[in-house]
Amino acid sequence: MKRYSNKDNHKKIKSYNTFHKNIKDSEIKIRVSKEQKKELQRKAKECGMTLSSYMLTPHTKNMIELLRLIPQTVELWDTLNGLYHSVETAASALLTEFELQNNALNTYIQKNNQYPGGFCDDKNN
Amino acid sequence: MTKTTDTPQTGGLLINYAGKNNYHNQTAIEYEIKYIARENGKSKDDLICCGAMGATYFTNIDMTVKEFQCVQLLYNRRGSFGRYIDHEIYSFSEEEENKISQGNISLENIAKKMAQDFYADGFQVYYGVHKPDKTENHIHVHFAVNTVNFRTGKKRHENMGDTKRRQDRLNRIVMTEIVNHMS
Repeated sequence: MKRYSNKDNHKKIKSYNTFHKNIKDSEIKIRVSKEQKKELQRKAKECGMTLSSYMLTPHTKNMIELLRLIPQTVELWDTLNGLYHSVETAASALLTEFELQNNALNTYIQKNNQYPGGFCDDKNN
Repeated sequence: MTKTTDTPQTGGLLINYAGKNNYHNQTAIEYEIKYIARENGKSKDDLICCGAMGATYFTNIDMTVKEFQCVQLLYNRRGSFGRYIDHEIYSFSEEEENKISQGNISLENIAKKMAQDFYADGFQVYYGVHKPDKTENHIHVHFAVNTVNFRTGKKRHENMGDTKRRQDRLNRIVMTEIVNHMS
Protein backbone atom coordinates (compact mmCIF):
# COMPACT_ATOMS: atom_id res chain seq x y z
CA MET A 1 0.00 0.00 0.00
CA LYS A 2 1.42 3.31 -1.01
CA ARG A 3 1.73 5.76 1.82
CA TYR A 4 1.60 9.48 1.27
CA SER A 5 3.87 11.78 3.19
CA ASN A 6 2.55 14.81 5.06
CA LYS A 7 4.02 17.00 2.34
CA ASP A 8 2.03 15.17 -0.35
CA ASN A 9 -1.14 15.38 1.71
CA HIS A 10 -0.65 19.10 2.19
CA LYS A 11 -0.29 19.58 -1.57
CA LYS A 12 -3.45 17.56 -2.24
CA ILE A 13 -5.45 19.50 0.33
CA LYS A 14 -4.20 22.79 -1.06
CA SER A 15 -5.11 21.89 -4.66
CA TYR A 16 -8.45 20.49 -3.49
CA ASN A 17 -9.29 23.70 -1.64
CA THR A 18 -8.24 25.86 -4.59
CA PHE A 19 -10.41 23.84 -6.93
CA HIS A 20 -13.38 23.70 -4.58
CA LYS A 21 -13.06 27.19 -3.09
CA ASN A 22 -16.77 27.83 -3.64
CA ILE A 23 -17.92 24.86 -1.55
CA LYS A 24 -20.67 26.11 0.75
CA ASP A 25 -19.88 24.37 4.00
CA SER A 26 -20.99 27.13 6.37
CA GLU A 27 -24.37 28.65 7.10
CA ILE A 28 -25.87 31.81 8.52
CA LYS A 29 -29.10 31.74 10.51
CA ILE A 30 -31.20 34.81 11.20
CA ARG A 31 -34.66 35.14 12.70
CA VAL A 32 -37.17 37.21 10.77
CA SER A 33 -40.94 37.69 10.76
CA LYS A 34 -43.10 35.98 8.14
CA GLU A 35 -43.74 39.32 6.47
CA GLN A 36 -40.04 40.09 6.30
CA LYS A 37 -39.35 36.66 4.79
CA LYS A 38 -42.07 37.14 2.16
CA GLU A 39 -40.76 40.61 1.34
CA LEU A 40 -37.20 39.29 0.89
CA GLN A 41 -38.44 36.43 -1.28
CA ARG A 42 -40.45 38.90 -3.38
CA LYS A 43 -37.44 41.20 -3.85
CA ALA A 44 -35.21 38.26 -4.76
CA LYS A 45 -37.74 37.08 -7.35
CA GLU A 46 -37.92 40.61 -8.77
CA CYS A 47 -34.15 40.57 -9.30
CA GLY A 48 -34.27 37.07 -10.77
CA MET A 49 -32.18 35.65 -7.92
CA THR A 50 -32.52 32.94 -5.30
CA LEU A 51 -33.00 34.14 -1.73
CA SER A 52 -29.42 33.17 -0.78
CA SER A 53 -27.90 34.98 -3.80
CA TYR A 54 -30.01 38.05 -3.09
CA MET A 55 -28.93 38.20 0.55
CA LEU A 56 -25.27 37.67 -0.34
CA THR A 57 -25.32 40.51 -2.87
CA PRO A 58 -24.59 43.93 -1.36
CA HIS A 59 -27.69 46.14 -1.74
CA THR A 60 -28.49 49.76 -1.28
CA LYS A 61 -32.02 50.71 -0.36
CA ASN A 62 -32.91 51.78 -3.89
CA MET A 63 -30.77 49.28 -5.83
CA ILE A 64 -33.59 48.02 -8.00
CA GLU A 65 -34.68 51.55 -8.89
CA LEU A 66 -31.08 52.47 -9.72
CA LEU A 67 -30.66 49.45 -11.99
CA ARG A 68 -33.87 50.38 -13.80
CA LEU A 69 -32.35 53.77 -14.64
CA ILE A 70 -29.40 52.22 -16.50
CA PRO A 71 -31.02 52.12 -19.99
CA GLN A 72 -31.94 55.83 -19.76
CA THR A 73 -28.50 56.63 -18.37
CA VAL A 74 -26.79 54.92 -21.30
CA GLU A 75 -28.93 56.89 -23.74
CA LEU A 76 -28.10 60.06 -21.84
CA TRP A 77 -24.37 59.34 -22.19
CA ASP A 78 -24.89 58.94 -25.92
CA THR A 79 -26.80 62.23 -26.07
CA LEU A 80 -23.92 63.91 -24.24
CA ASN A 81 -21.56 62.58 -26.91
CA GLY A 82 -23.73 64.21 -29.57
CA LEU A 83 -23.83 67.51 -27.69
CA TYR A 84 -20.07 67.51 -27.18
CA HIS A 85 -19.55 66.80 -30.88
CA SER A 86 -21.91 69.66 -31.84
CA VAL A 87 -20.15 72.10 -29.52
CA GLU A 88 -16.76 70.97 -30.78
CA THR A 89 -17.82 71.37 -34.42
CA ALA A 90 -19.45 74.76 -33.78
CA ALA A 91 -16.43 76.00 -31.84
CA SER A 92 -14.11 74.92 -34.65
CA ALA A 93 -16.31 76.69 -37.20
CA LEU A 94 -16.41 79.86 -35.07
CA LEU A 95 -12.66 79.76 -34.59
CA THR A 96 -12.12 79.40 -38.32
CA GLU A 97 -14.48 82.33 -38.98
CA PHE A 98 -12.66 84.42 -36.35
CA GLU A 99 -9.27 83.65 -37.90
CA LEU A 100 -10.51 84.57 -41.37
CA GLN A 101 -11.89 87.90 -40.15
CA ASN A 102 -8.74 88.58 -38.16
CA ASN A 103 -6.58 87.94 -41.21
CA ALA A 104 -8.78 90.23 -43.35
CA LEU A 105 -8.51 92.98 -40.72
CA ASN A 106 -4.74 92.70 -40.51
CA THR A 107 -4.45 92.84 -44.29
CA TYR A 108 -6.58 96.01 -44.39
CA ILE A 109 -4.50 97.67 -41.65
CA GLN A 110 -1.24 96.88 -43.41
CA LYS A 111 -2.49 98.25 -46.73
CA ASN A 112 -3.75 101.49 -45.21
CA ASN A 113 -0.98 101.99 -42.68
CA GLN A 114 0.77 105.38 -43.26
CA TYR A 115 3.80 104.18 -41.36
CA PRO A 116 4.48 100.67 -42.52
CA GLY A 117 6.60 98.86 -39.95
CA GLY A 118 9.05 100.37 -37.44
CA PHE A 119 8.41 103.13 -34.89
CA CYS A 120 6.89 106.53 -35.59
CA ASP A 121 9.71 108.81 -34.50
CA ASP A 122 8.40 112.31 -33.73
CA LYS A 123 11.91 113.84 -33.64
CA ASN A 124 12.57 113.08 -37.31
CA ASN A 125 9.13 114.34 -38.32
CA MET B 1 -12.69 33.55 -33.80
CA THR B 2 -15.38 33.61 -36.45
CA LYS B 3 -14.24 34.67 -39.87
CA THR B 4 -16.45 35.02 -42.92
CA THR B 5 -14.34 34.28 -45.99
CA ASP B 6 -16.46 31.72 -47.84
CA THR B 7 -17.27 33.95 -50.81
CA PRO B 8 -15.02 36.35 -52.73
CA GLN B 9 -14.98 39.72 -51.04
CA THR B 10 -15.72 42.99 -52.76
CA GLY B 11 -16.62 44.67 -49.51
CA GLY B 12 -14.74 44.71 -46.23
CA LEU B 13 -14.29 41.82 -43.83
CA LEU B 14 -15.67 41.58 -40.30
CA ILE B 15 -13.86 39.33 -37.83
CA ASN B 16 -15.24 38.44 -34.41
CA TYR B 17 -12.56 37.42 -31.90
CA ALA B 18 -15.02 35.66 -29.58
CA GLY B 19 -13.05 32.45 -29.18
CA LYS B 20 -13.22 30.04 -26.27
CA ASN B 21 -12.11 31.63 -23.00
CA ASN B 22 -11.29 34.92 -24.72
CA TYR B 23 -11.98 38.03 -22.65
CA HIS B 24 -13.21 36.07 -19.63
CA ASN B 25 -11.34 38.33 -17.24
CA GLN B 26 -12.95 41.51 -15.91
CA THR B 27 -9.81 43.48 -16.80
CA ALA B 28 -10.46 42.70 -20.48
CA ILE B 29 -12.79 45.71 -20.77
CA GLU B 30 -10.12 48.18 -19.71
CA TYR B 31 -7.44 46.40 -21.75
CA GLU B 32 -9.46 46.40 -24.98
CA ILE B 33 -10.74 49.98 -24.75
CA LYS B 34 -7.29 51.33 -23.93
CA TYR B 35 -5.80 49.24 -26.73
CA ILE B 36 -8.25 50.68 -29.26
CA ALA B 37 -7.81 54.25 -28.01
CA ARG B 38 -4.03 53.76 -27.87
CA GLU B 39 -4.10 54.79 -24.22
CA ASN B 40 -2.09 51.73 -23.21
CA GLY B 41 1.26 53.44 -23.40
CA LYS B 42 1.90 52.53 -27.04
CA SER B 43 2.41 55.01 -29.87
CA LYS B 44 -0.65 56.78 -31.29
CA ASP B 45 0.79 56.99 -34.80
CA ASP B 46 -1.68 54.53 -36.27
CA LEU B 47 -4.81 55.90 -34.57
CA ILE B 48 -6.98 57.85 -37.03
CA CYS B 49 -9.96 58.48 -34.76
CA CYS B 50 -11.96 56.91 -31.95
CA GLY B 51 -15.31 57.29 -30.28
CA ALA B 52 -18.11 55.52 -28.45
CA MET B 53 -21.83 54.90 -28.52
CA GLY B 54 -23.71 54.40 -25.28
CA ALA B 55 -20.74 55.65 -23.24
CA THR B 56 -18.96 58.98 -23.10
CA TYR B 57 -15.76 59.24 -25.12
CA PHE B 58 -14.79 62.83 -24.31
CA THR B 59 -14.11 62.21 -20.63
CA ASN B 60 -11.28 60.25 -19.07
CA ILE B 61 -10.91 56.76 -20.63
CA ASP B 62 -11.28 55.22 -17.16
CA MET B 63 -14.74 56.79 -16.96
CA THR B 64 -15.70 55.06 -20.23
CA VAL B 65 -14.54 51.74 -18.76
CA LYS B 66 -16.65 52.32 -15.63
CA GLU B 67 -19.68 53.09 -17.78
CA PHE B 68 -19.25 49.72 -19.47
CA GLN B 69 -18.90 48.00 -16.08
CA CYS B 70 -21.96 49.79 -14.75
CA VAL B 71 -24.18 48.20 -17.38
CA GLN B 72 -22.84 44.77 -16.45
CA LEU B 73 -24.50 45.11 -13.04
CA LEU B 74 -27.73 44.28 -14.88
CA TYR B 75 -26.51 40.73 -15.53
CA ASN B 76 -27.40 38.54 -12.57
CA ARG B 77 -27.38 34.97 -13.84
CA ARG B 78 -25.70 32.44 -11.60
CA GLY B 79 -22.45 30.79 -12.61
CA SER B 80 -19.54 32.11 -14.64
CA PHE B 81 -19.96 35.54 -16.21
CA GLY B 82 -18.30 34.44 -19.45
CA ARG B 83 -16.95 37.10 -21.80
CA TYR B 84 -16.85 40.64 -20.47
CA ILE B 85 -16.18 42.26 -23.83
CA ASP B 86 -16.45 41.33 -27.50
CA HIS B 87 -13.74 42.42 -29.92
CA GLU B 88 -14.65 42.73 -33.60
CA ILE B 89 -12.57 44.19 -36.42
CA TYR B 90 -13.87 45.49 -39.75
CA SER B 91 -11.10 45.60 -42.33
CA PHE B 92 -11.82 47.75 -45.41
CA SER B 93 -11.27 46.16 -48.81
CA GLU B 94 -8.81 47.70 -51.25
CA GLU B 95 -11.69 48.94 -53.40
CA GLU B 96 -13.35 50.65 -50.42
CA GLU B 97 -10.06 52.14 -49.29
CA ASN B 98 -9.34 53.64 -52.72
CA LYS B 99 -12.82 55.15 -53.03
CA ILE B 100 -12.67 56.61 -49.51
CA SER B 101 -9.24 58.05 -50.18
CA GLN B 102 -10.17 59.49 -53.59
CA GLY B 103 -13.40 60.99 -52.30
CA ASN B 104 -11.74 62.29 -49.13
CA ILE B 105 -14.60 60.73 -47.18
CA SER B 106 -14.60 61.02 -43.40
CA LEU B 107 -13.62 57.69 -41.81
CA GLU B 108 -14.95 58.96 -38.52
CA ASN B 109 -18.46 59.28 -39.98
CA ILE B 110 -18.30 55.78 -41.44
CA ALA B 111 -17.03 54.25 -38.19
CA LYS B 112 -19.73 56.04 -36.22
CA LYS B 113 -22.47 54.70 -38.49
CA MET B 114 -21.02 51.20 -38.17
CA ALA B 115 -20.98 51.53 -34.38
CA GLN B 116 -24.62 52.57 -34.56
CA ASP B 117 -25.38 49.06 -35.88
CA PHE B 118 -24.13 47.51 -32.62
CA TYR B 119 -25.79 50.18 -30.48
CA ALA B 120 -29.15 49.66 -32.17
CA ASP B 121 -29.11 46.06 -30.87
CA GLY B 122 -28.69 47.40 -27.31
CA PHE B 123 -24.94 47.16 -26.79
CA GLN B 124 -22.48 49.86 -25.80
CA VAL B 125 -19.57 50.04 -28.20
CA TYR B 126 -16.18 51.76 -28.26
CA TYR B 127 -14.64 52.06 -31.71
CA GLY B 128 -11.31 53.14 -33.15
CA VAL B 129 -10.02 53.45 -36.72
CA HIS B 130 -6.43 52.30 -37.19
CA LYS B 131 -4.02 52.52 -40.11
CA PRO B 132 -2.64 49.32 -41.69
CA ASP B 133 -0.21 47.41 -39.49
CA LYS B 134 1.50 44.02 -39.18
CA THR B 135 -1.75 42.15 -38.57
CA GLU B 136 -4.06 44.09 -40.92
CA ASN B 137 -3.05 45.15 -44.43
CA HIS B 138 -5.82 47.71 -44.76
CA ILE B 139 -7.36 50.47 -42.71
CA HIS B 140 -9.53 48.78 -40.11
CA VAL B 141 -12.02 49.62 -37.41
CA HIS B 142 -11.88 48.01 -33.97
CA PHE B 143 -15.11 47.57 -32.03
CA ALA B 144 -15.12 46.78 -28.31
CA VAL B 145 -18.71 45.72 -27.61
CA ASN B 146 -20.15 45.30 -24.12
CA THR B 147 -21.46 41.74 -23.83
CA VAL B 148 -24.39 42.81 -21.62
CA ASN B 149 -27.38 44.41 -23.29
CA PHE B 150 -28.17 47.70 -21.51
CA ARG B 151 -31.89 47.38 -22.34
CA THR B 152 -32.52 43.77 -21.33
CA GLY B 153 -29.55 42.86 -19.11
CA LYS B 154 -29.01 39.70 -21.20
CA LYS B 155 -25.71 38.45 -22.61
CA ARG B 156 -24.70 38.87 -26.23
CA HIS B 157 -24.57 35.75 -28.38
CA GLU B 158 -23.26 36.03 -31.92
CA ASN B 159 -22.70 33.03 -34.19
CA MET B 160 -21.09 32.95 -37.63
CA GLY B 161 -24.39 33.70 -39.33
CA ASP B 162 -24.93 36.79 -37.18
CA THR B 163 -21.41 37.99 -37.93
CA LYS B 164 -21.94 37.45 -41.68
CA ARG B 165 -25.22 39.39 -41.64
CA ARG B 166 -23.59 42.23 -39.69
CA GLN B 167 -20.70 42.26 -42.18
CA ASP B 168 -23.20 42.66 -45.02
CA ARG B 169 -24.85 45.58 -43.20
CA LEU B 170 -21.48 47.25 -42.58
CA ASN B 171 -20.57 46.77 -46.26
CA ARG B 172 -23.83 48.51 -47.21
CA ILE B 173 -23.08 51.37 -44.80
CA VAL B 174 -19.68 51.94 -46.41
CA MET B 175 -21.08 51.77 -49.95
CA THR B 176 -23.95 54.11 -49.09
CA GLU B 177 -21.53 56.64 -47.64
CA ILE B 178 -19.31 56.43 -50.75
CA VAL B 179 -22.27 56.78 -53.14
CA ASN B 180 -23.76 59.70 -51.17
CA HIS B 181 -20.45 61.48 -51.17
CA MET B 182 -19.97 61.07 -54.89
CA SER B 183 -23.49 62.17 -55.86
